[in-house]
Amino acid sequence: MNLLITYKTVADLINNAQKIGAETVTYFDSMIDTLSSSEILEESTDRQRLESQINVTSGVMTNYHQLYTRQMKDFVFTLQKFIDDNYLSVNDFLSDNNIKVLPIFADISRTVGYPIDDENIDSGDIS
Amino acid sequence: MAISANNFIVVYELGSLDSADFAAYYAEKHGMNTSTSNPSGSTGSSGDINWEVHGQLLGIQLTDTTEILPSEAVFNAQLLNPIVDAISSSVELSNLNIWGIVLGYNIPGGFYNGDDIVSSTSRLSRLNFSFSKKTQNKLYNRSVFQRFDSTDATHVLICSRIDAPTLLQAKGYVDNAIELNDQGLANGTFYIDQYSDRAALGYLDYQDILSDFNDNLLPTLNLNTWETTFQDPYIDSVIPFVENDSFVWSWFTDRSHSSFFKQTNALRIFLYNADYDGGFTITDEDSRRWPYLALSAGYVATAGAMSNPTIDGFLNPNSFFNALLRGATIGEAFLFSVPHVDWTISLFGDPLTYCSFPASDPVDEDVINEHEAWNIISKDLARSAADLYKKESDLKSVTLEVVDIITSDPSVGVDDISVDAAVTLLYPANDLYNNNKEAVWQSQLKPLVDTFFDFPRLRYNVQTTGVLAPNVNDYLTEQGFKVSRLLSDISSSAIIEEDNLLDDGWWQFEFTVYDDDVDNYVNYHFILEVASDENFVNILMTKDSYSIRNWTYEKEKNTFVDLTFSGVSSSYIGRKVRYESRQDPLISLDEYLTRGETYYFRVTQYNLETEEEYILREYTNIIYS
Repeated sequence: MNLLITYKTVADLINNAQKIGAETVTYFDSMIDTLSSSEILEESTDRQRLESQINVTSGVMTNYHQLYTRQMKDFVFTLQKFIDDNYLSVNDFLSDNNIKVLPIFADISRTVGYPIDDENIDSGDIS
Repeated sequence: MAISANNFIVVYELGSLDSADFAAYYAEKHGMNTSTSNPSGSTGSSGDINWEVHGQLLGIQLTDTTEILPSEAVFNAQLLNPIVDAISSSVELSNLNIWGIVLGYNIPGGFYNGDDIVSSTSRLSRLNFSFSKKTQNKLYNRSVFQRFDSTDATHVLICSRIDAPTLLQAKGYVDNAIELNDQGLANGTFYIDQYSDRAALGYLDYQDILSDFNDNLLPTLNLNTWETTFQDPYIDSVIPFVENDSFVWSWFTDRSHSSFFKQTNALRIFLYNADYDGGFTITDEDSRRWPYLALSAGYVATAGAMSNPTIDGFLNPNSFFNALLRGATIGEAFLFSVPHVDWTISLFGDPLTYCSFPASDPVDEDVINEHEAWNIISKDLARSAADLYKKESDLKSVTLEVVDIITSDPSVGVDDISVDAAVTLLYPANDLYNNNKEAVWQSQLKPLVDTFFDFPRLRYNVQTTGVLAPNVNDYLTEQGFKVSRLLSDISSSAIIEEDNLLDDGWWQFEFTVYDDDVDNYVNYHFILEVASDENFVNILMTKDSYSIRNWTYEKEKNTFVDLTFSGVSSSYIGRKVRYESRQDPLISLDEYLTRGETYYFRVTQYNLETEEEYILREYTNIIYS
């Protein structure tokens, strides 16, 4: 069925979207490190203004891209519930169809109440 | 741990009261250990040469004390082998972390080798290596400064010679050194002579080094300076005399007179005249060579060649004074500035002396220049935008995949479950996508991007940039920076001019030079491979830095210059190398990559001379332009 073909693609896209979104936070940490290592004095109002805005934006990134948003959880919940409703379970669906999902997708799934067995997780490739 | 007297041994002539007296005097002045805890383990012989250890003092019963020994074999028998044997077998010395050797009164200064005279200090600095004439010094002119340490000591030791026509004079040299260490501050004039009567290619290279030093580092020492003026390429400009002097750095005019040194109220710290035989003797009281004259005039330390070191063997003032400025001892500074070991140049005087300058403290290597900091932040900000651009793209694909459940291939047919799935998933998929669309993530970044672009205007409203309170375009133009179009698209307050924007798909890969051949001084080139997958199955391009085009390296902190065919030497370990992508439709060249995609880069350093390839290093990079 078409859903079978789509499931793996969608799960991987979700995994990658969440992963790359979460990575943005590291760049904000790096920006703060750069400012801290720069010759611009800590007391400088220019530096403080920029540093403050970096911190604010980093917080936004954390909430909207590092943490699992309501929309992200809703989608994964809906997807997994649909599978659960139409098959014995998500794990049976995955193992019966020899589908392995990536770790971040598996973690979101666990968060929304559908834990995935280790044998159905492809831990060797997290890209 | 910084270098100290505890890391040194003093070599003297066993059986000579004067030589032993000098060694004890030096040791006492530096608080070195001279006691013997285990007499039975402190004596030995090497061939027919006996040796004896007293704490950090090593006496060798020389049978030949001429200043220049006739051959390497004699040198090995008289000096090198006894020192090696004593260090390995005496209880005292084998427990020391030996980083340096002082050759004391009446110890031979070198040996003949063909037409050359190899200095004892240079040969002994490579004590644990077989003789290899004119070997590149691994520690020479390190671009990233670091103090001498235990790792360095595995390559080269700090060796110096303190000798004189009389014991009294030799002790006087030590007294001068102690006075400098007590007083500390360099307070005299720096005399520099950039010009000689030599005009061949190698000479001009050295003149360039001196000019570079004169123009850049010397002013930062904040000393009074006196410099010769250029007259004619065939006339050697000379310093007529010095007074109230602390440093002299000159070249040629290889003989002088004691009257060159006038009265001084300043501490005389280091004199170097680059010539061919200044170090031939320091024990001949009639000598008119510079090292002897300098020491006699009160200079704490000096250096000179015992025979022609060749132009590329002259000391480099940039690395010497960069080291002193950063708190290194004269012994360290010398070692960092001498291009070759197992060669002719010798350090004379106390290697444990140091001085400070009336200059402000040098900027630490780890401190980032503020403009460079802005540029680095610009790239990180662009990377975060590229991440969100990619995330949006992925979530858009999710929505399309959901739609495709029922529309992708009509020939397959659509079952009821698939229809249900599409209907069920479409709303949350669309909701997820809408929550990550361009307008949304751009609005999340916009306050920061606006603040960031406004930073130069606010920052430089009273400070020294070309334009007062520059807008972001003025700033980018002045600094030679470009920013990603991703950031330009976000900002509402600044319209970035086309010339200041990176091309879509442009990339630059930057990596650090590693010390892949720890034992040798190497000229490195690099092979860069770019792949679309982490297993490097699909390699998109391979670039060899030997082609040099679009390759640059960090010659000095934050200063990148074009790579040359000779590559990047061991002196630049810790510095960066860059490759910048090219696009030229005229020759169908397109190295640009896809915005928002992550690519895999791996770099192999290789030895230009032997073509030996070292380990692969892998990196990932998102295209943020």
